[in-house]
Amino acid sequence: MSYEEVLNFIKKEIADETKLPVEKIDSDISFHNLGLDSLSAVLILHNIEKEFGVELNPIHFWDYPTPASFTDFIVKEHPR
Amino acid sequence: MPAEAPWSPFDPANISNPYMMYARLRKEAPVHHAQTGEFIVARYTDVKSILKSSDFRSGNRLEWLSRSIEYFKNHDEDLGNIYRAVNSFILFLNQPDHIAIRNFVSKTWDDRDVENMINEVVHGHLEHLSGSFDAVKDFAQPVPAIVICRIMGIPQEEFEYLRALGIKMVRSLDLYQSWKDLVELNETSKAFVKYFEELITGKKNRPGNGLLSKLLTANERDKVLREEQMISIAIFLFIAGEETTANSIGTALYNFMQRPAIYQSIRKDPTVLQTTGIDEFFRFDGPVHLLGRIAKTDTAVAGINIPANSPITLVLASANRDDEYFPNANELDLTRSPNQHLGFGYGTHFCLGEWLGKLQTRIAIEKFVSKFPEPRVETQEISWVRNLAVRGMTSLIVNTKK
Repeated sequence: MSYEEVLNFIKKEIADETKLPVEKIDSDISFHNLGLDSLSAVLILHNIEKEFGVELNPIHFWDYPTPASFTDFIVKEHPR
Repeated sequence: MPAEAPWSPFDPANISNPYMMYARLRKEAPVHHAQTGEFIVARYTDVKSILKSSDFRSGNRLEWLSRSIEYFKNHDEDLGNIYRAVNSFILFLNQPDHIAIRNFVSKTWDDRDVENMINEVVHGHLEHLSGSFDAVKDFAQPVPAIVICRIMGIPQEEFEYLRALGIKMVRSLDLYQSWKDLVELNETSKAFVKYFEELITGKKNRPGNGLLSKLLTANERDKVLREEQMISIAIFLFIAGEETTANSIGTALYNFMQRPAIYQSIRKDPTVLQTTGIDEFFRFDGPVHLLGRIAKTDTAVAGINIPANSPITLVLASANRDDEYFPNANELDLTRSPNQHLGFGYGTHFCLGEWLGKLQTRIAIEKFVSKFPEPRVETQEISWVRNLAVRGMTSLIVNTKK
């Protein structure tokens, strides 16, 4: 999986969840400021796990709290 | 940046030993708005003042789980069993329900003369143990499960089935659950609810002497609880009775075996446990590390503003190691007195079963220590449960050969 793939998937998930158009989702804005909460986090993490076959701990979502940093974390933790 | 977040409860180093993280929190960020959205409170005075204050409510996890159920219902996923299981867990309740239900359980629980029964259960397990064995799986876990079965009037042969569920059910108190965790919790809840529904129906037809029958009879008269509350309270009493105590017995044995001088001092004078030693263990390494609260109004703690409805995590286990309050807080001193630790909470929610948890831990330790002169911990790397809310070991291999 590539950085681009993961980032685009995460942005699409955030768009679905927040009803924001995907092009409005800046990679460096925090999940919190994008309007996500701990419930949407559960769903988005679950969808990322299914899509890329990875296992993620819910706290990682908040430790790496922007689309860019979270993507970076996932790609580095799960090298292919 | 993330590596430096002072609140990293899933970092493997902090899972095996969270006390360094707690020390850093107390020093650098005693009250802070964590990356996870809640406020983390680490110092003794602040934790205690929140536990005493009526500006904060309980039920952090219940509110979150209820919102999860609602949220996933909109995504066509049904997690409703979780609510059926946890709706009346006493630690989640607020006034006036809390005081009414707590008093009802407390006054109906009139048979507290359980010391002989506990002695018998502890003895029954110890007599089969020798050489190398797993002190958690073969001793610390089954003993409190059987004790709470006997107290509640649950058929004793079902303790293993219920214990396996209990281990999963106590995870309802964990912070930051994943979808997989929620699905598993829902399955566990379903099994628990079904079990107690059937047991309660049976007991209504044929009351016995146990606590559950007493609660049912008293409730026929006083009508304090609805059926679904009774089931939830039964689940709560079971897991509160066995999960926390299984962890306290295991962790206490581990701490004492790792400190041979202390172990030998208990062998010489076991009465130190009853006077001050057991309380000191609960201060030093008790199983309940985190408790949730929610701010009812805009408030401030230690100069940090906390807006209304903010979730708050109180780190009891950090408060109990606070040097500002306990001299030499990182030292396990079985004669420590006074010892106003927060291992069982404080205030209106102070643990209902504190006496039972302490009694069982004491008897288990006394008898273990008296039987084994020089046991050694054989496990190289201790495996702790992967969540700090209720902390304990999953296994502890010991060698008791001389």
